[in-house]
Amino acid sequence: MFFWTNEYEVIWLQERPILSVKNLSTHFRMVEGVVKAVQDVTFDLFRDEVLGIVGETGSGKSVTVKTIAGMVDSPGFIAGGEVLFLTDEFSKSGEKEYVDLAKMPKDNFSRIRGKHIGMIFQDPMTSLDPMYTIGNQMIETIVHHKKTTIEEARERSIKLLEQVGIPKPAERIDDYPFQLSGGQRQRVVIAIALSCDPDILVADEPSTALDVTVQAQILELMKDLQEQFSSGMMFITHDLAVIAEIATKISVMYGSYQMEMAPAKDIFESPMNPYTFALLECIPRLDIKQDKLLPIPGQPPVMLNPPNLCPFLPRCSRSVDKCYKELPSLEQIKEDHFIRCWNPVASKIKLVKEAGE
Amino acid sequence: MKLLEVRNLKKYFPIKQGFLIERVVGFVKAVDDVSFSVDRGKTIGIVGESGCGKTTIGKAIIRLHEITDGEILIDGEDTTFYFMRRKRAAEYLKSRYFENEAFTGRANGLEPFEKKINDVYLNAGKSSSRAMSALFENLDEKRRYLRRKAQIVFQDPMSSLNPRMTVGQMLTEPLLFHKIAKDLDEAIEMVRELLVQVGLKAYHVDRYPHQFSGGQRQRIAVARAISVNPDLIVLDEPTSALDVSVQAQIVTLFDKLQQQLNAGYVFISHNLALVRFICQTVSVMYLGRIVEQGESEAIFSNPLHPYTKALLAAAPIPDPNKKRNRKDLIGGQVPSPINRPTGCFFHPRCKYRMDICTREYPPMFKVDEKHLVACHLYSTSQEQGGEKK
Repeated sequence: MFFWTNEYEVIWLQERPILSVKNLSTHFRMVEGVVKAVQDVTFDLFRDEVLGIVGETGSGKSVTVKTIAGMVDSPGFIAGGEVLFLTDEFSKSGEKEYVDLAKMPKDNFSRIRGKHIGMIFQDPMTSLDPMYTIGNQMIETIVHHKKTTIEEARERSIKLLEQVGIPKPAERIDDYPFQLSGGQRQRVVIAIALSCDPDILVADEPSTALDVTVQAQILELMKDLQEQFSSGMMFITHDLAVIAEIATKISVMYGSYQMEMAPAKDIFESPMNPYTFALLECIPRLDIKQDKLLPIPGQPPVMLNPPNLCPFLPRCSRSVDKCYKELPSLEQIKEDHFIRCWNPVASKIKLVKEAGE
Repeated sequence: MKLLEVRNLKKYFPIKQGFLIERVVGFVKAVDDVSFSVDRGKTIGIVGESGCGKTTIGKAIIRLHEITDGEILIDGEDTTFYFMRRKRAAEYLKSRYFENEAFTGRANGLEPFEKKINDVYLNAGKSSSRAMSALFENLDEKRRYLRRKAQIVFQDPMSSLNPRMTVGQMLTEPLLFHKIAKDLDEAIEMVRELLVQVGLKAYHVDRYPHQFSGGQRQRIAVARAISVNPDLIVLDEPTSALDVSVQAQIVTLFDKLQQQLNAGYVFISHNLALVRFICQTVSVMYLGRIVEQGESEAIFSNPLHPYTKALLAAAPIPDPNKKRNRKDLIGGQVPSPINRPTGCFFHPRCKYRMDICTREYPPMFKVDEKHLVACHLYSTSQEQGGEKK
């Protein structure tokens, strides 16, 4: 996006977020009641930014990105909010403009997904078709979106495979997925996701199914590629250590709400929401010797017909009277630092003092 | 006396080929010559990537797998032949003890467990067949005792709990089988206490597994394991299916129970940070063999084997300010355990590879009392050091 001659336009384009999600809610209509999977999620994603969405099982992190990519089917529905995506796909003038993906018909999504939003899922064996060679699957994507010839697409696929670090790409392109190892399969999935120069790369737990040494390779690769392609990335994981490695901005989710959103450094150095704080206290660490883990008591919430209160309330040690009356909203307390809490943790240093007294 | 001693454990799975007439074409050497021991009240961690044989070790210890070779001593008793078929057990006893000149010819210097068998042998008038029938006499009882003393907690509580039984039914079964409780009423009373002990409520006794969350289910699995007062608990990735906040709860529970029961744990995991937190000793495995073994702190603060270094460098650290040590990262994949590389199994991925590594598998080298490593880098330097002296 840097080939415009007018330098003002370049700056202007960079400053506009490519994706702006506002108060997004996704619910599922079940026999037992309404499952509120995602509620009131708000964030902006810029180019060159890696937004990490971290949360436990059932916190709504996967449903958030699936909603953005239009992959939520009945009984799920978007209960409210906007997903503004900056694209020239549907504009008549060729200028980039915001399209609301939340209101877009399902048929139009095939022009967005794979082309402007590349997706990487957890298990590469289920996201690749075992009956087709990896070349077939890559070429299909490129021909469909870029309207190239098969020969051009094949050439591009080989180049992409080389970029993602597959040895002898010209030979491996005719392999079937089962002939590749787990790490290599994930590399192929990444290559497919990048094949059409997407604006946003969505990675849903891409390293969870892999071994640690392979996970490290994939994370390094994704960091390098994201810089090369200068796309925005949304990285979903339950592993705080992985998110610390890759994300520039982190959104912590719990019980369908965003509890805290801040630059990666702030989340780890000065977490303000009690949930984030407690979460960081209860993970075992490799780099230091710990005597004790401080577990969070209780169980994660059930999302069926939840009360309209802070989801962390039953497990929170800092709850105040106000917590039982009203749901806090996501407030901006510092530049780039948003939290949802009535009684935030002021800072680590202060809390240590409190405990000492 | 060590609670558990595993010596030269081997578990090979045959690869069969052919229709009607099957023949063995090779072996998957899942566990190959592994030795370690656990004390009461202590925890040993077994770490490695998938396919390195760590789960097979766990299953072999509690004899869910019949072992191919090696010895498993529990509480100073040779339990290796307990779960073998009679014919194989007889073969084992003959070759290991009664017809083994190294054993029969050596009256003194026998280890305690060998002595016990030697006593039986002498009582039987040095007749191996009579000694064997004496050993087999109360084998059922011994098996039952071993099943009670060694327990396991599996990774996924949903698949290790029977969905059609209530918690009460599941937990009373072992109590009644091992005659710990007189009758059902007493058993149910004990189950209620157990549930409270693992952090559940007594009224959960009539619920089915699907009515619980993942962490609660794992608590039930833990309750089932500790209900029979085991000395040894194998924990096979007990927290990898759980969320981090719940993982900390379960880990704290293990710690509490260990102090209560004074049990020894074998903690199998791929999560290095968790192993560092829980375990006193650690064994790092690669392709069925232990490559580095020793005190947890020695291994994590001063890893010696290039594979251990790579594992530690690859594990992400929850601190954005710390950059990973890229120098020790390795590429490639774990090779197939059917067709392992020659020499040191790690040499195709190793940065410090020498000529000797492609030819010979390195022996276990003692760096100091509490730290063992199987790597030529250290064995050669030791030889040089020895020459200097």
